[in-house]
Amino acid sequence: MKIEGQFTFDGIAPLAVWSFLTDPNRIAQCLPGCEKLVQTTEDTYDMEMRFGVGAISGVFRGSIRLHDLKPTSEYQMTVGGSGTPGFVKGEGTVQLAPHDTGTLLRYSGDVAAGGPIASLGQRMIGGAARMVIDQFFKCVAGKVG
Amino acid sequence: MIAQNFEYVVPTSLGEAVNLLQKHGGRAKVVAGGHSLIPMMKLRLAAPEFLIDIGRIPELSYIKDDGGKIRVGALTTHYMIETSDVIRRRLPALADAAGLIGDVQVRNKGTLGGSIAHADPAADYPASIVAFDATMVTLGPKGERQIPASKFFVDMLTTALDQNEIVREIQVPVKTGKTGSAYLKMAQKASGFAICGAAAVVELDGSGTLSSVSIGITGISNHAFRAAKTEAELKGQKPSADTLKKACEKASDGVVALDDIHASADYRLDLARIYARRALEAAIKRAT
Repeated sequence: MKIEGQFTFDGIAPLAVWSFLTDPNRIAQCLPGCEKLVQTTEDTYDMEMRFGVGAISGVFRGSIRLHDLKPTSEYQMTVGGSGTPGFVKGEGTVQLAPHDTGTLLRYSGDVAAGGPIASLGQRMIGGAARMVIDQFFKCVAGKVG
Repeated sequence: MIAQNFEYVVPTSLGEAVNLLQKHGGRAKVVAGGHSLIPMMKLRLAAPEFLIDIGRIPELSYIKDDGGKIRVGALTTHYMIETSDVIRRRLPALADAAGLIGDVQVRNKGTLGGSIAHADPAADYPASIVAFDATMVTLGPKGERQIPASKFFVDMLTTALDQNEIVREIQVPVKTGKTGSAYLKMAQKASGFAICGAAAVVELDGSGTLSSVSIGITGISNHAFRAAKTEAELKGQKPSADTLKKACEKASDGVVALDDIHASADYRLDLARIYARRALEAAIKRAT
């Protein structure tokens, strides 16, 4: 399933957004329900997220890899994880560009899910992902600005 | 699958249920008819440690006609709403929605309060709830609160309810004069959930002009919404086929649609335009 969207950081330059988004300690502050995010290799991080959207909840353990970094403008992200509600894996691109006095961030990716979340949650995964992504970027904007 | 272990508590009043929620915080969930939460628990998508069953509190199941508004108790089942004379006569869109939910077993057990508090993005009621501009009366630790429909559905599975708050009653204002309403949906074949559902509520004046129009749409995005542009364009107009069609082209303007294996985002946005028109036509037919 494709997930894409954009977010505008008003008055925050791409460099500031970039440094935040590539710093695991700072990402962890904004990932909703993130309980653990540790660097395991140069570009890979292990994470544990307590996930909750309405009645749906669960703990996901997995990894994030940031690769093909083109500083301040683009990077690729590979995410994989599993937990009680099933497994999720995905790949995506994050692009940053100057926009007025701030930064326009675009993201696009492909996410696949399996297990219980795929049977009942299939129709909600896209929306739930968008909710979490939006919360994340709003938090980032608050902390960088 | 079998749900994770949980403790089961049966309060005898809503006040007691609120106290239990306060005591157990985020580890508890309220269950009424159990037709949204229990399937999720069986799939282990939800794993509350405490299940507070308010389904046996008798005084929360009623439909009362107060003249200017209809008051529906939170535990009123879909079947009771579908078959109620008062609802069918005065709020037909709500009866339509109730009758189209799931199957007969779901309708016998599932409740209005439970469905809206769960806020499934594809649930049927929210379209009518926002179109009728209903008010949710809730009970929480600080007492009663009234939440208008326009503020109630916040996001997917997320409402304006606080963690320790429970829906007690739904109040639906009734228009007087020549009024009609209808709810239509395109259901996903296996689950019966709405891929798109539209509720329209209209009021016609003596000359056949639309003096009030509201359209609520569910299934398309993270939560139900009003087709505000279409409403504004139609108000004060005579509802000819062309006028309706043209106005409904804007029914899903500015909406970020869901996209899944059942329907793409573009398809959903198109369904919203079509079902808005069909619901309006049905509502107008009932008003005349």
